[in-house]
Amino acid sequence: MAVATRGTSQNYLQRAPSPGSGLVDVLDVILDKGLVIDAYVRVSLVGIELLTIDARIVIASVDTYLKFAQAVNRLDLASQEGGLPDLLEGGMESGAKGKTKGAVEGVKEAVTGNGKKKEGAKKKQQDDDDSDS
Amino acid sequence: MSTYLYGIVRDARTEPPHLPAVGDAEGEIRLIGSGACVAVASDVPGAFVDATAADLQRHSDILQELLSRASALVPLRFGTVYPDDAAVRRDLLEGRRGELEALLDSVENRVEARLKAFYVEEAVLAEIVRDEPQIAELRRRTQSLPPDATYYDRIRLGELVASALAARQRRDAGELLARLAPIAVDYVVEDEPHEWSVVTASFLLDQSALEDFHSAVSTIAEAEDRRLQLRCLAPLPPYSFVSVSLEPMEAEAAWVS
Repeated sequence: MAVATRGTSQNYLQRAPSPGSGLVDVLDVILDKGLVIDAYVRVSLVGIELLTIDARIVIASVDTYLKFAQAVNRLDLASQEGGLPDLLEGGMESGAKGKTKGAVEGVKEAVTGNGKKKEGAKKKQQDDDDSDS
Repeated sequence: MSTYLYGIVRDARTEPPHLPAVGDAEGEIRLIGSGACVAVASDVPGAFVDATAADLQRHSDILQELLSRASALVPLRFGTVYPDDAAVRRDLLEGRRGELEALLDSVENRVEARLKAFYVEEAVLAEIVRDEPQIAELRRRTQSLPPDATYYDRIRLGELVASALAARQRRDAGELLARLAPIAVDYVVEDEPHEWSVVTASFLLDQSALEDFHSAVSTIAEAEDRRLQLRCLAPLPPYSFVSVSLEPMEAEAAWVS
């Protein structure tokens, strides 16, 4: 099934997930959605659940406000008429901050470390506990 | 050896994909059952699967391939392992036949499209400064004085920007959904903690409406090019529309430990 990239806008990407790659696009769907048969879920990495829970937390804090103030102050209003950089990748990375960072890093550890099952999960839980203080 | 499940289809004549299987690259992907609901499965060693990148990718790839081979596909979340095929037949295909048939009906000839929309940070901030005099004024003041003198002003500025951003996000998300929802059978919106997110949503589409959906998203993307970035992943197996959790039945109690 071929779905080519369409549209000429550089801001728009449309495709089906590529076989053998594109895991990051479907990761949340295959871990968090789909039919679940409670009695037979047998994933040995406990830490996955923490990603889906922690990622729902949005922290509004003084740090966030200062960051917005900085972003507004750095704006070059005169340049807003021209072409704009593709911020999608950078934007997505910067979104994983504060409380969510530990969870995202933990899953990356977990899914790329083929042997590190429970050790990885324990370490990530510890990171989350530490960042709670 | 245990039985790992990928999804449920209607047709026992569906050709299983020849792709690497979860837990065993050389494992054969096969069908279980011959009645109204058929499970797509492979053997895995042991009773658990690790959530490795490779296995997650295989689960996704197999379901993606099945989407093009089956008119109705109920994808399972990663990690469903039954003790053996007999348990699959008894507890799932026969034991939950009614639920499975209802799910299959609901996704017959349908696919999922997953949309993520983000702001172009500088464009939306510029809009906010232009549209909100209070913000423009605080910006002027905090730019012209040394940082030490403007700590509380900067917090106030950031708070106003955050609030304006949230209002814009609600409005823009609403407009996107108003444009796209009519093309879909159903849709779900998700919380997206990313601060520049406009909306993250999954749409259930009739296969025949997929082109129209792509066109609509493409049109919006071109029109909003300066201020929005859209990413549309489609067609997908309808993960978001079969996200039911089937509670353990009595017969499964022995396996739950």
